[in-house]
Amino acid sequence: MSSSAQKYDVFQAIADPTRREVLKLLAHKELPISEITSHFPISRTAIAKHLHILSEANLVSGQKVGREKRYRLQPESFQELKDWLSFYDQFWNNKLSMLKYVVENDEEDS
Amino acid sequence: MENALQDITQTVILNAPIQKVWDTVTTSEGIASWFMPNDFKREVGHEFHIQSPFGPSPCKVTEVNPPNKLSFIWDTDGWVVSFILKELGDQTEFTLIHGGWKQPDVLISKANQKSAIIHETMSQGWVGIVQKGLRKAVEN
Repeated sequence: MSSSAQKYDVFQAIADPTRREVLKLLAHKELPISEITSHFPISRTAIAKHLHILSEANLVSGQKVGREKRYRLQPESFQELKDWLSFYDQFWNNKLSMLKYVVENDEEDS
Repeated sequence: MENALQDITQTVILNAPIQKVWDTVTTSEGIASWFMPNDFKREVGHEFHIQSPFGPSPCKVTEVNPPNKLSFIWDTDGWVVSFILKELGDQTEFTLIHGGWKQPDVLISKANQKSAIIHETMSQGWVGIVQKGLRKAVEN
């Protein structure tokens, strides 16, 4: 987490299906809120709330272009996910070390 | 976001004959000695549980090809774990494949359910298991 003031982490932010859809839309290109809203059967206010949560998790960022604010994906934040995968990588690494120890050190049982 | 995540693959060369490694990775007692407590049986279709720090994980054996390959489904989200053994004279090449990772967005939802536990467990759980297990093995 990059900021202690952050209220939502990556996992919470993406737990919601609408927010996952928003991310998919933004994966292709940056969009203004009006265009994002047009893909969903919910209000602009509701979408704004979702975007707020995604912003707090640093998954998207908004930038003013002229009169409108355009949202884009912040791919760096997906690092946290990679960390989750590397956790399993480390997990297996530990387990395989253990396996190596076990099969190489119990001479009497073999 | 479009691509499913790659399998985790790890290979280790073991200074032990293939039959010994096979018995260690495909018997309940053997698996417990280096992995986790379980009620595994070496039969295709056998359903068993691994006692992980998150509680019991349901598993099911999907392939048994002695002494070269064992596969089982781990947990309920599509994970597939395979142990692949290859004889290298007196040694054995052991490859672990942890696959079946879903699309990142699905994965994130799983992570969301478990992240709290994982964050809590990461610091103590796995490390504890490894240290405990290792100590047991060293002291025996």
